[in-house]
Amino acid sequence: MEIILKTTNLTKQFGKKMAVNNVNMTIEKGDIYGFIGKNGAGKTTFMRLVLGTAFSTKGSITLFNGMPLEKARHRIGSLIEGPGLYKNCTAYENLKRFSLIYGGTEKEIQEILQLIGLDNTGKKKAGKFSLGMKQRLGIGIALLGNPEFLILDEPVNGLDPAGIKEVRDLILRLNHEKKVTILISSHLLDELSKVVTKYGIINDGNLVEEVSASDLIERCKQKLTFTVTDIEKAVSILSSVVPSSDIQAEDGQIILSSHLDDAASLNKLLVQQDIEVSGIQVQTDGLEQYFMKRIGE
Amino acid sequence: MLGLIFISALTMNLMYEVSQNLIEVTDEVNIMANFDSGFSGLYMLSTALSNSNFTIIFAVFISLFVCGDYTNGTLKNVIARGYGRISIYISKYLVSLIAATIYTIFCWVIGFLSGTVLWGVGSLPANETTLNFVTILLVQLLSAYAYTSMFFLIAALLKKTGGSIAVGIIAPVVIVMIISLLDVLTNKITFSFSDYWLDNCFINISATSVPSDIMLRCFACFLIYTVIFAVAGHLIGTRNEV
Repeated sequence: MEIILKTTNLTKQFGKKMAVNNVNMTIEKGDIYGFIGKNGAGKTTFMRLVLGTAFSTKGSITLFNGMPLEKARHRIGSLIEGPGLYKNCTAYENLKRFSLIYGGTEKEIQEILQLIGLDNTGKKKAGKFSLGMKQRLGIGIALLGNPEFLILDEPVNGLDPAGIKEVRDLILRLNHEKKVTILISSHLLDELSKVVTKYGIINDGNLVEEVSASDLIERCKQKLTFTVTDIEKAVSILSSVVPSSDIQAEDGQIILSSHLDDAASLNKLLVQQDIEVSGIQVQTDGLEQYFMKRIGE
Repeated sequence: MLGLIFISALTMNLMYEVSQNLIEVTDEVNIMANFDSGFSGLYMLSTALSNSNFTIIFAVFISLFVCGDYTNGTLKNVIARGYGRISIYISKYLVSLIAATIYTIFCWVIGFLSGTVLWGVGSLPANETTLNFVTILLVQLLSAYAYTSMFFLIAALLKKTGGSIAVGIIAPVVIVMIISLLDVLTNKITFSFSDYWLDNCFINISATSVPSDIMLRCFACFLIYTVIFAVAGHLIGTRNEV
C-alpha cells in the first residue's frame, strides 16, 4: 500500500511551547483521515508543517513514498485556516489565476465552479463573498490540478447544513471515484464520523491515538457495567456465562460488551454468589465522549 | 506622474523667465550654468526621474505587490503547492525591477518630450559626451533599482501593506535626518555620511553633467545598496512562515 504521508517525530516548538510534539502519523493511499483535537491542539500547525508553510523544529516528513518534498507538494491540494483569495477578483478569476500555477483547463475551472456552487456569482468580487462562499472557493482552489492528496483544515467552517452535506458528498466522491487521499480536521465530530476511515486524536501537540473507524465503532458500542466489590470473583462467576473476550475489568467495574439484555439475570447470579453489586449501567460512548476521554477531560 | 513631470517643466520655465528678468543667476544654480541654452529636452530627460516623486510611487507599488500576497493569504497557496520560497521571492523581485525599469524609461520619455516641446531638444554641455550622458542615465536606472531593493526589504520585513507603505515613505526621511545629524556631530571632518546615502547620490546624478568621481561614487553606492537590500530582503522573505 502506498504511503501518502508519514511523519517521524515531527515537532514544532514556539519558545517553550510544543505546538506539535513528536508526532508519528501514517496515512495510506485511499484513507480519509480525520484529525480531531480541541482548539490549539496543534492540528493546523501540523498541517502547515506538512505543507511547508511552517518550518519544523525537528523530525521528518515523507510524502508519496519518499518523493522529494517540493515535487510531492505539487500533487497536494490544501485549504488551511482561512481561504487565500484575491479579493478584487471574481470566483472565476481566482480559479483562473491559480490555474496558471497549479494547472487546470478551462473545462476543469467550469466544472469546479459548478461543483462548489459558485458558477452564478458573475462579477461579484471574492472580497464581497460571505464566509461560506469564500470557504467554497477555497475548496475549489484546492481541487485545481487534480490533486492526489487533499489537506483540509475545517473545510465546512461557515457552511450551512446543505453546504456541509455537499462538501461531505464531494469528499466521498473524490475518495471513491478518484482515489484521492484526504486529511481533514473538524470540530464537527458527527460529520467526520460519516466520512473518515481513520482517526487521529491530538491533544496539546501530542498524537494521543490513531484508530481506524471500524475499531472506534467497536470501542464506542454499548456496554453493560457492573460496579462490584470483589472484581476477581465476579469475573470468574460471569465467565461461566459470558465469553471472557467480552469481559473487561477496570477501575472497580466489570464491563461486558455482550449479553446487554441480561442485566437482571447476571445481577441475580452475582448476588447469589455473595457478590455485592452497587451499580448496574448500560453505557454508550459516543464519538464525543470517547474523544473527551482520550484527551483526559 | 505624467502631469507632475509636465507641471514641473512649466514651473521651471516660468521660474527661468522670472529669474532672467529679476534675479541675477548665482553660482549655486550651477545646473543652469552648465547649459548653453538653459532648459531643454535633454535637461528634462536627466531630471525627469527626480521630478516624478518616484520614491513614493515605488514605495506604494512594491508594498502592494509584495505584501498583497501576505495580506490575502494567497502566498501560502503557492508555497503549499511546492513552489520554493527562493523562486517566489526572486520572481517578485525581478518583476519589481522590471516595473522600476519601465517606470524610469517612461519618465525619461515623458520628460524628454515635455522639454523638447517647450524648449527644443537642446545640447549637452561642452565638457560632456554622449557616452557620459548615457552613463548618467544608466546610473539613474541603478538608483531606481537601489530604491526598489530597499522597499522590497521593507515589505518582506513587515508583510503588512499599510505599515510597509508608511515605513517606505517615512524611513528615507528619517534616515536622511540621522545621517545629517551624524555629519553635524562629526563636523564633516574627513568623511561625509550624506555623500554616501541614496538621496544625496540621486540628487548628484540628476543632471546632464556629473563629474566622473561623483559618478563613480554614486554608481558604487547604488550597486552596494542594491545588493545589500536585495540579499537582506530575500533572506528575510525566505525565512517567513506564512
